Amino acid sequence: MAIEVKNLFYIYGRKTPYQQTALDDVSLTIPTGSFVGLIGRTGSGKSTLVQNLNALLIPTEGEIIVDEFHIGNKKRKNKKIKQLRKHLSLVFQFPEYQLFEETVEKDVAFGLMNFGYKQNEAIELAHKALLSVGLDEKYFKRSPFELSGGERRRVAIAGILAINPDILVLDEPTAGLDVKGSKDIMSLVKQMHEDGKTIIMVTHDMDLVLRYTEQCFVLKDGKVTFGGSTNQLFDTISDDSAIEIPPLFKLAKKLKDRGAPINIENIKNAEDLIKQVNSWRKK
Amino acid sequence: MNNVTFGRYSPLNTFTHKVDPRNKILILILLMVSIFLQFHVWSTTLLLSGVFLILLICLMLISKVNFLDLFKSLKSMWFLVIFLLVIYVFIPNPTYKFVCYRFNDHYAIYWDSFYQSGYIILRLILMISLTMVLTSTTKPMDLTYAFEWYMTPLKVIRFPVHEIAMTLSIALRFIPTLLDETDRIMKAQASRGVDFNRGGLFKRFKAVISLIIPLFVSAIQRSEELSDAMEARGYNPREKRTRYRKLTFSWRDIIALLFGLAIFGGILYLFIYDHNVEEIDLFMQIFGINVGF
Amino acid sequence: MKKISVKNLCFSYVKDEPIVKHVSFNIHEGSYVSIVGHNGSGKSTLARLLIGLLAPDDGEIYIDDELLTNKTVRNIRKKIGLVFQNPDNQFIGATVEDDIAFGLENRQIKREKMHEIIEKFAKRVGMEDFLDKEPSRLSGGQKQRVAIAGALSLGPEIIILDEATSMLDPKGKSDIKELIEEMRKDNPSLTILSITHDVEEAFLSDEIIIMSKGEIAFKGKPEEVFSNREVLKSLNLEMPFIMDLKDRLKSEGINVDKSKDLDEIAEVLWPLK
Repeated sequence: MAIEVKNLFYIYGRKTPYQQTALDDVSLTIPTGSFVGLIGRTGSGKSTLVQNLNALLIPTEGEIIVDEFHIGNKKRKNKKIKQLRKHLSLVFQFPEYQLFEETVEKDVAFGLMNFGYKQNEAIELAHKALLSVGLDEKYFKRSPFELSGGERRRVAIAGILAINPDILVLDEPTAGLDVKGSKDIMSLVKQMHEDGKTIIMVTHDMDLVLRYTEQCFVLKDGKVTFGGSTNQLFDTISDDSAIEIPPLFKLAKKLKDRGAPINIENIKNAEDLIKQVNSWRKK
Repeated sequence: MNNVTFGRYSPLNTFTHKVDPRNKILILILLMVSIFLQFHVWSTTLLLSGVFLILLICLMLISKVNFLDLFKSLKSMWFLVIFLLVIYVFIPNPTYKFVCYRFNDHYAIYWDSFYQSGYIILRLILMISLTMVLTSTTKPMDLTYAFEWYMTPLKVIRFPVHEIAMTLSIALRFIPTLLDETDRIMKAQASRGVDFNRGGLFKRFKAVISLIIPLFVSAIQRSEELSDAMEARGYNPREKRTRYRKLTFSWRDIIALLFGLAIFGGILYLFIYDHNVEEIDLFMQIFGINVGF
Repeated sequence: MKKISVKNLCFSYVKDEPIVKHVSFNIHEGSYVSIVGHNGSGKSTLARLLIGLLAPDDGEIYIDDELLTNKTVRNIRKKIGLVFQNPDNQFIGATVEDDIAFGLENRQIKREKMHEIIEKFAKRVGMEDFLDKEPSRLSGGQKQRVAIAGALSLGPEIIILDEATSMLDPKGKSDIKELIEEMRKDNPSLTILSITHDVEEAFLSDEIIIMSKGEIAFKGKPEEVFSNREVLKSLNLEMPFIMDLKDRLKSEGINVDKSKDLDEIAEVLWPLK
């Protein structure tokens, strides 16, 4: 298991009039190498949960085990936080807003140098990371502030990729991007998953959840209301639920209801559906 | 950011909350001047300070201001207390009379030093507490309106009163937004291995830079969008505007103002009297009793 | 009747790097038009030009046959309500009611009348229970609804939505879409211009203008635009799901052209015997 969350509670503004329970007895496990979706309405506790995972927030109660690291509510006992953050990295929503260096390569190398790499080593790794997100030499010496929104986001993601974490948490990686920008980012994420990384993606976009994730967890008011296979989630929830079923999956469900021999567990994208349709049409 | 609770506006509905902010500012000034008047005989001064302390406690009770929060915020004043004490003890004023301990002919510790520094601290505490009663019972926006109202006469000399008030109110509006943003950027940089609490000078400098620059960039972008939004909604600083919020004077304000004026007037009377009759214990004069030494 | 008429509009921030190139189009009163395009296609610049926040290098903009110039800009702005992308950066007042009041104050509406207007439009967007709430206590979608109320309260004839839904969650997005429909029902002569990259949203409009690299690449009714797969592909735009699926099925030799919705497609794919 890559991540084990046990009876996690997180309370904001404890013992003040503004007290608010953001996570209410959350327990879940995420296997190594999986691609997991984390879904729920704004304010359901998703962001709080992922910030607990790399100790940006310290649990009010309960514990988290991330491979060899342990996070509990005793702040002093949480050592090796820096190594934890190298092992599990968090890409925030709109990460392009965290860029600050005068050149793209320096910005990407910044994280590496924080984790103890020497400058030339860091720059070299930064170049590799930038190439992997599709930004070539032309970009290395440019200022991040003169790039387009999509390019800046790729630089920011490269900054995290360069650190080479084993677990990558992405908060709304496609928010605010146009179709092309989203596609670029998602194919990058998919590549990282194929390279063996564990991916956790927080998103509102159910099409992305269906297309990419194997498993997902649904949070509501700080509680986990579903944990299991993504297709199973869409299969079990009703139309009027807060979670919108992707139209593709709706169609698959309709076919299943009509008695078509469709394997709903395998439907991830339109190609999958058409393949199955073709297989029964040939008969 | 969350530990500063005293002085932050608390949405209640007490008498003090309902008083017109312009009036509250005026009364605050009157009370502050009263507190700052110094009398010749220290028994008088001490007694009046006691009166003010009781007044403050009453005011806090009426305004439902939390006492615990006050103590918490005063705790951070200990440095100032020590600083003042040291200054007063080691640099005695030649008028000091009561010797506490004499080292030699040139140097002695006087009781007066303790009294003087204690008195200053007491006055500071009183003033800070009063100001905090004001800020915790008045919406920041109402304070801005009140300041704008007081500065209106300056418009005659073309002082940009309205622009300053608008800038101030927008700044107030964006404080929570920018605090959220700061928190977000700090966390994002922490994910990239930045440690804001540890490391050498250079590392810390770099950490701060990694926070400040993104914050600036976003603040500038926000301000550009905000000015577009304001212009699109017909804002023109040079044109007349009407006012949605109106400050109104009610019976509460009359009571509060009379109360403020009464205290100020009383203290002022004592002050003038005190300066005419030098070196005499004022209270003995007035009440025929000796409360001092 | 022509509400907005744009003729040969050109604009550049930096010389020789044009953002908008010779753009011309007409928008009729009461229509709902979407301008679709990638980030950087010049569509947001277009919104700022229309309301006179930027001055064009060349070309003309007419609102109700009145040419937009330095002299007419203040009058023309009174006819246009603009809602921006970032919910936070257009919330000016300290609370919901103060924010709606901001525009009214600029228009020198009498104080006595303001409260009534504010209540009416807060109700219109479903924010009447939040009048005294500060922006930090509202969700992005709620803030956008307040922004729309602020724009509507000034009685505009044209509403321009500049990617007003792009930073919202699905609930916020669908709320705004519903609101657009309701606004049109309330006032059929209201002209709506929505700048967006959400194709599903654009699909709801009467007409779509596709911008690419500062030029109009395509213009037409949603069905026309989305049935032209070649254009969409060359512009790297996504199709609404149903249209995309129909196309894919067609290339597999399954004709579902007549099917209107998912149920009818399912019927073709697996007819009940």
